[in-house]
Amino acid sequence: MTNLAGQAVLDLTVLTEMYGDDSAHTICQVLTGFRDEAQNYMAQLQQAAAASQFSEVARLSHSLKSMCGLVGAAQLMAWCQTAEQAARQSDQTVLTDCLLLLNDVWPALLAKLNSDLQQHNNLQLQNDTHD
Amino acid sequence: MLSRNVHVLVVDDVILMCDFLYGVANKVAGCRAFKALDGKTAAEFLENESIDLLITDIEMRAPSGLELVQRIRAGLFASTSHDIPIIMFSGNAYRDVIEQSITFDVNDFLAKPITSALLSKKIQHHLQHHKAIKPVAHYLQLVADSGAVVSEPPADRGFSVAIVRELPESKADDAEQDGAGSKTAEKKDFLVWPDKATTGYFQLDRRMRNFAFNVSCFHNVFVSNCKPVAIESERKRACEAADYLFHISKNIKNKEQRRDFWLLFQQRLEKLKPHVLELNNINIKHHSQVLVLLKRLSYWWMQTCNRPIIQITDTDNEVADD
Repeated sequence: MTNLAGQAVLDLTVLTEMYGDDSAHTICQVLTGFRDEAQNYMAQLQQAAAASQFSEVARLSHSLKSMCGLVGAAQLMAWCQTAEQAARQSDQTVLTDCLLLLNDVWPALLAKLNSDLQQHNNLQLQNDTHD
Repeated sequence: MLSRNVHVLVVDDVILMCDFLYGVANKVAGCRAFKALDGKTAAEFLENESIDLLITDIEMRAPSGLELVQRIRAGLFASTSHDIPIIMFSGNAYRDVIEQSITFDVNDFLAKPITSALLSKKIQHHLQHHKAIKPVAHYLQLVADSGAVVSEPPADRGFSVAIVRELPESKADDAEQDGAGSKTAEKKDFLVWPDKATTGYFQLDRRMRNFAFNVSCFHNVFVSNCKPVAIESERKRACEAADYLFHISKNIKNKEQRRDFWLLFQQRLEKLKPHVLELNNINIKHHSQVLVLLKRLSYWWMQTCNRPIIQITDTDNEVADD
């Protein structure tokens, strides 16, 4: 299994490079979109994994992986990579280990998302007030 | 000043990614983006809008990105040409998928993650550099050979890119053409599409440029006294380019509002039709007749490639950026 500990939970420099825009408005918009969509994927993933629907797990992990790449959620991205591979090989053992890890990875990301969002929302408010 | 009005369709089943692609494509000078979250919606856009460039993910619920590509190249969409530039991307670079993409002449294959700067450059590049795409029949055969289930175009359809005449070419013809035609075409351009010029319609600009190129090739092989088989081959290509110009014009005209432009452009096309008919039937051994026809085509081109039909584009930055 990939070493997730060495990966960044959320690296906003990746997001700003991807979008070519480091404004608080863009960062808030993208992170909010990511958080909402990722939560849906997370619920569907857990359901599919519990039902051993390997093709569905592979599809969902694949989609989630590309979203993570866009915002710099490296840890979850590495997790998705492992889960996708395990699902494509119908490897239930690795997939079960993966799901256990998700209990740490996702809450950590969610907490970082919320704190970064809070910070950039404040920044945006300050900018709006100055304007 | 006119902008090019390029229609870009972005397709991805992940909302965040689709919005990202849409945002990037919309920011490219002269582009107007459409977005689709699944293959089915994308197919509807391709059927009803004249799409000039497609950016699609590969792995989606049916139809997948690859199936969309197969349908486009096989000319199965009424409003979209089969030879538009196609950029595909995926997080997984599977060998067989890449091989199939190459078979269907996908213009570019990108691996995720893609930055906005890179994607923007790629869009500009593929709008300015045209890849030679084979006739529809070639891709239809590929689809048939692969056993993919792709519906045939309805026989009674009023408009289809698949109805554009395609003359069968023997391998010997191709070899001759490759050896003589394309080389001589580089020597001199008989008809020239001015730099940074636009009709305001990307597809029309493409067809006009293509027509100029093919007539120039015909002119060059003819005046260079190349083998008759090479001259014939270039003549057919020039006629095909003209047919495509007529077809695309009719297609766009039905959906657009610029009445004065279309009135004028239609008049120019009506004047071109007898020349193309003559080009289609002329005996290339009658040297003087061919020269007279070429002169007429040159005169037509001079009169057409002027204001108000074409104008200088206001998207200078897209050239500079590239």
